[in-house]
Amino acid sequence: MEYVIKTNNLCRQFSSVKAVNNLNLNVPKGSVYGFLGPNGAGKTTTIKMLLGLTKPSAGTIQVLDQSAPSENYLHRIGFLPDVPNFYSWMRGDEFLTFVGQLFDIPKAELNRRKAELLEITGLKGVKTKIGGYSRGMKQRLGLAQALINEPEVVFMDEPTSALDPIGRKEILETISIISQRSTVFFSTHILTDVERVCNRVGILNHGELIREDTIAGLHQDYANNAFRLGIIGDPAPFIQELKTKAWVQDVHEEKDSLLLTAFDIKAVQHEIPSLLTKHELGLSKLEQVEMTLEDIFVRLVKS
Amino acid sequence: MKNFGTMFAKEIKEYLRTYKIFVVPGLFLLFGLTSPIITKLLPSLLGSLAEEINIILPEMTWIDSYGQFFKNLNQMGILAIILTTMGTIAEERNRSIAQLVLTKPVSRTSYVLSKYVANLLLITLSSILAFFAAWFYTDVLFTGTIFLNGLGATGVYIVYLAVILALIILASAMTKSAIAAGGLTVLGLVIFNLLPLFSKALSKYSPAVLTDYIYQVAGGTAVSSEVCGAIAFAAGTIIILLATASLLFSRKEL
Repeated sequence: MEYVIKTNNLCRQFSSVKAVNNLNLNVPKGSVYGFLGPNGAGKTTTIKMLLGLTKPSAGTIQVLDQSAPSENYLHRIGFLPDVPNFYSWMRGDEFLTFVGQLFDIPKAELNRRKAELLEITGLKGVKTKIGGYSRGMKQRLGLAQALINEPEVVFMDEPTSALDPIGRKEILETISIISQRSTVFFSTHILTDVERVCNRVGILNHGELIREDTIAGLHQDYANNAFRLGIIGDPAPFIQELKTKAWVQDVHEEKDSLLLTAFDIKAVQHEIPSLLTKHELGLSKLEQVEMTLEDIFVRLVKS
Repeated sequence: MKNFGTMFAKEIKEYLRTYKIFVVPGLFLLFGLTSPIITKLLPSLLGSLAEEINIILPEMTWIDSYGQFFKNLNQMGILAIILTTMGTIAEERNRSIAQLVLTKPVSRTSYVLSKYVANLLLITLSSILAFFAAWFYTDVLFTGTIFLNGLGATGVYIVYLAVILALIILASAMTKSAIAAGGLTVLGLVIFNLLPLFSKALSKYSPAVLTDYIYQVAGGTAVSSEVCGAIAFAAGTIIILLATASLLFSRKEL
């Protein structure tokens, strides 16, 4: 598999806080990679290191086979920050011209790309200065400027987090379009967005990558072997014993039930009844759970 | 120096759109127009203010007119430049615009230098424009005005401004706050003004001494070797300030 972003033991420390800790990312070419994590997990710091805006404390970065931080790959990437800010005195099309000139795009080609991107982002014909744009319009302009050089990799830092549902929908649709020709590396904590557009995820927590897989891989590992048990009685000793069993992957106590993830489904079916009898507990329900990405994410982060 | 031209063109366009291109030259022009008139009217103004007291003032000359003009530029002109330029990098960092631009193929040196050169062009043209206005009115109101003395003094003044501008750019590259950048610039100016106290060479050539040379060149009493030495010293100072600004900005996390 060809990777367009690779990091090796990447670290970033701010005084005593390890914002990113031994991060090993592998982003395959052509993927839409959801870089997931709760607020403060280190997502933005990682993106800044990948773009050369922040220097790593340790470790190495490779973007498009170039060692980072370097100016050598900047003409091949696009970047949309979480809250894009522009020169407020410019119009949107002027900003795209300015960015296009920075990439040295010939005038005719630049005009063609500008027209196409303004059309895609719904900013065609907008003559207002950027200072008068709404948040959503700025986000769409941010997306257009990130794509003006037809980048091989597009970095997006929480592109939808500040948008209303319609704005989010529009941005996600645009991401789907650009994913046909670019790799998209997209940080977020909105899981429904990831499920909608990403085919691969990296889950970051406290600066550490706790899981990197395809969406299908995550579901395969967690979806079919999860059970929800309704217990009648005090479940504490039962949970204690479950945790000692080799076939149990994880036990998570919910409000009125237990969420059990197992390595061996048959063991659940055969051993749970005897364990319940042993602990003199009743069973109100036993159901196989179709876990959402949110369930998986919460469990991974909490564990 | 990647993309210096595009960044420079953007700066000039920004001056046009935000009216900075009219504000700075307009202010300078105002000093150029009013300084000779104030100089000419000063004796009668003072006389009318204190009718009981007999104030005897020597007759004002074209040298006094030039002197008044450069005094105004040295005070209010420099203040205006600090106020209009102190946020040039700091504000763009603070608002994350620098982040967006510097993830494109733009070197940080180009980014810093484009701002310096564009501002230098603006203050050079403003100073020349103001000088022509001052010279015209001085020539109309006083006899014996020497054009070249004023032009030479304007040249020295521009060199002095170039040093201050480099100081502002350095201060702006060091911080995210425009106000802090302004404060750092004032601190730098204080240090520049203290330098002549430390050695004989610095008392002749340090940038702060350029303000004395401006008046001497205007009055025709300057020693050209000393002025040239100070200009060369100023050029060296500018290079050091800009190189430091570029280096510090390259190491800044955005």
